[in-house]
Amino acid sequence: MTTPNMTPPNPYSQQPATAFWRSAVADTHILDIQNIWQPRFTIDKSTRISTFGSCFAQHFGRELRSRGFAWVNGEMAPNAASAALRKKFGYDLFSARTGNIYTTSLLRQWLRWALEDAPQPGEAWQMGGRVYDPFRPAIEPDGFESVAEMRKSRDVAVAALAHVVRRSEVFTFTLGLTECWRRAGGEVEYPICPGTTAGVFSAEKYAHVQQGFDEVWRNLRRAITLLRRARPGLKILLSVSPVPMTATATGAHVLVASTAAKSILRAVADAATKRFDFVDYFPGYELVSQPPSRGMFYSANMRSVNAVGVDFVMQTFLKSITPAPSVADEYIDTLPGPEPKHALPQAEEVEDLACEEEILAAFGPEGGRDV
Amino acid sequence: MKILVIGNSHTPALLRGFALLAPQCPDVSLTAYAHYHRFFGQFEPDEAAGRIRMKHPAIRRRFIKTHGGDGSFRPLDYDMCIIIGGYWLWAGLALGRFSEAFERAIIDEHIETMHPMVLLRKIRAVSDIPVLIVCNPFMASRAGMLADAQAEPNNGAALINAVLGPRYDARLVTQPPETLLYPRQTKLEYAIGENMWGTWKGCDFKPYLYDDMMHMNTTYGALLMRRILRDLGQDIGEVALPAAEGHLPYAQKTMPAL
Repeated sequence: MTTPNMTPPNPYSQQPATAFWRSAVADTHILDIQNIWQPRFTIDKSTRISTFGSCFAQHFGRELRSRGFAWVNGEMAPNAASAALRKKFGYDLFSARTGNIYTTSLLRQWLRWALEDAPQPGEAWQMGGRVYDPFRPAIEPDGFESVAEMRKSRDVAVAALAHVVRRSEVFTFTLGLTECWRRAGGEVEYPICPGTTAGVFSAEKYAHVQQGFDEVWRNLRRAITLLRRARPGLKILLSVSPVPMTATATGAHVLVASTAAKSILRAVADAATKRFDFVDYFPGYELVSQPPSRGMFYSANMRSVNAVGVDFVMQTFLKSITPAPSVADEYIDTLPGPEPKHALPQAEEVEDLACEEEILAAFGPEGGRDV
Repeated sequence: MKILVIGNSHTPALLRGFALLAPQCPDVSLTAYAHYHRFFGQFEPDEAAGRIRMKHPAIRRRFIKTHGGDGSFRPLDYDMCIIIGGYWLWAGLALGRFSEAFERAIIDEHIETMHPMVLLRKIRAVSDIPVLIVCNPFMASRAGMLADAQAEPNNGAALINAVLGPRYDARLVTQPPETLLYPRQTKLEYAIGENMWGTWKGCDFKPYLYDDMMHMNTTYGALLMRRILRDLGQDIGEVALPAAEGHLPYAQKTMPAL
C-alpha cells in the first residue's frame, strides 16, 4: 500500500496551493483569497493608465482616480462643473467621452475613427427636436442642439481617444457584451439598439448580431494592432465585466445568453493573454461572479455590483500590483493603526453607473422594474 | 426709494458708504438686517403673512433689538432688496468648447448653488421685488499677488445675469473695477480701516483689531453703493470719498487686541 508521501512526483505534486480548489478556494473565504493575479507588467501610481469598455470600467476608472493613480483623462470637463454634472454629461466616466464600449467590434470602430481617420457615418438620431449621437446616445442627456454640434462633440471625443492612446502606458478595456446592433449589410455598429434610447427602429435598416468567439477575438486582435501601432510599447489590461446582460434579443433565456456571452468574452481574454505577452487579464469577473463570492457582491437585482464588491475588486487589484512588503513595512503593519476614518461602504451605496444597456430593461414585463 | 439690505459681515462697508452718499439722494432710505457668516439658511418665508422670519433665536433677538417687532420683515414694504454675501467665484468657462446644453447646465448649477440663492428663493416665495446680489469682495494682500488672483473671472457675471434676470428678476453686482488690483484681488488701500458692526446693544461700527484682508472699508462701500444707486437712476454727483482711514497701521493690526 502506498501513502501520499510515497507517491512518485507528478505534475500536480509540484503545483502551489493556489492550484488546488480546496486550499485556494473552498477552505478560504473569498475576502482572504490570495495570489489570484500576478501582473505581467508593473503598474504603480505613476503609470499612465486609461480605462474604456463596458459599464464596469467606470468603477475602475473612478477608483483609480480617487486613489491617486495617473488616470489619463483626454476630455476634461471645465472646473466649474460639479462631479454630478460631469457624470450626467459623460465626463470622467472613461478616459475619453466615448460612452460605454461594450464589444470588441465597437472598440475597433472607435479606434479606426481615432487612429486611422476612418470616416464616421453621418447618421444622427432625432427625438423631440433634439439630436442624439447614435454612437453615444446617452452622452448628452437631453440631446444636442443640432447635427453639427453633435458631430463636433464626437470629433472632440475621437481626437481625445487618439490622444489618450498615445499618452497611455497601460490601456485597460473591460469586455461587456457579444450581442450588438449593426446597420444591415454593413459593419457600422451601435452601442444600443436603435429605437430604445433614441432613434427609430427599422428591421430593414438595423440587424441584430450575435458574435461568436471567432468574431470577438478577430476584432480584439485588430483593435490591439491599432493600439500598438499608434503607441508602440503600450500594455493592455483586459477584464470581463461581471455585470450580466440586461436583456437579450436572441430569444434565449437571458441567463443562458448572458452566460454564453461572458464565457466567450472570458475565452477571448484568455486567448489574448496567451497570444500577446503585453496583454494581461485582471480577474475581476471571477472575484465577483464565481461561486466563492456566493453572490454577495451583487445588489438586490442580482446584476449591479454593490459597493463592497467594487471595493473588494479594487483592493485585490491594488494588493496585486503592490510589491511584497519589506521588513520595515511588516514591522509598521504590526503597529496599532488609527481608527478607520470611514465606515465600510454599505452594500447598496454604490454609485450608479451610466449604462445605456440598462434602458433595455424598460422593454421587459412591468417595465422591467427590479422588485 | 426704500432699500432692504440683508447681508453678512460685509454689510457695514456698504452701510457706511451709503451714509456718505445719503445727502446726495435724500429719497433713498436703507434698512439693514445683518449678521455674520452664512446665516441665510436660518430665514424662513411665511407665505401667508408675506414676511421673512428668522428661525435662529440669537439672531432673531438681535433683529428685534435693532428693528423692533418680532424681528421679521416684509419684503413688499420695500422697493428693492440687496443681498450681501457668498461668493460667485467663477472657475471660468470658455464658451463654445462644449455643447450648449452642458454650458447652460454649468451656469445653472453655479447659480443655484450660490449662497445668496438660499435667501433669494425665500424672498421670491413672498414677494416679487427686484433683488441685487452683492457677493463678498475679493481678498486684498500685503504680500503681493495672491494665488489665482490673475485668473480672469471670465464672462461669468454676464452669463449669470443672463439667467438670473429672467428667472428671478435679480442681478449680480460685481466689484467696482477701480477697486481691483488683479481680476481677483482687491487693492490693499480698500482693506485698511474696515469696520465691523457690533452685535451688542448700543454698539456702533468698530474697527477690526486684526489684520483682516477680507473686509473692505467705507471708501470701498461708497464706490460700490454709488455704482448701485447710479444704476437705479439716482443722480449721485461727485462725492468726496475719504482716503483709506488707516487708523490701525500694520503694526497694530497684526495681533488681536484682547
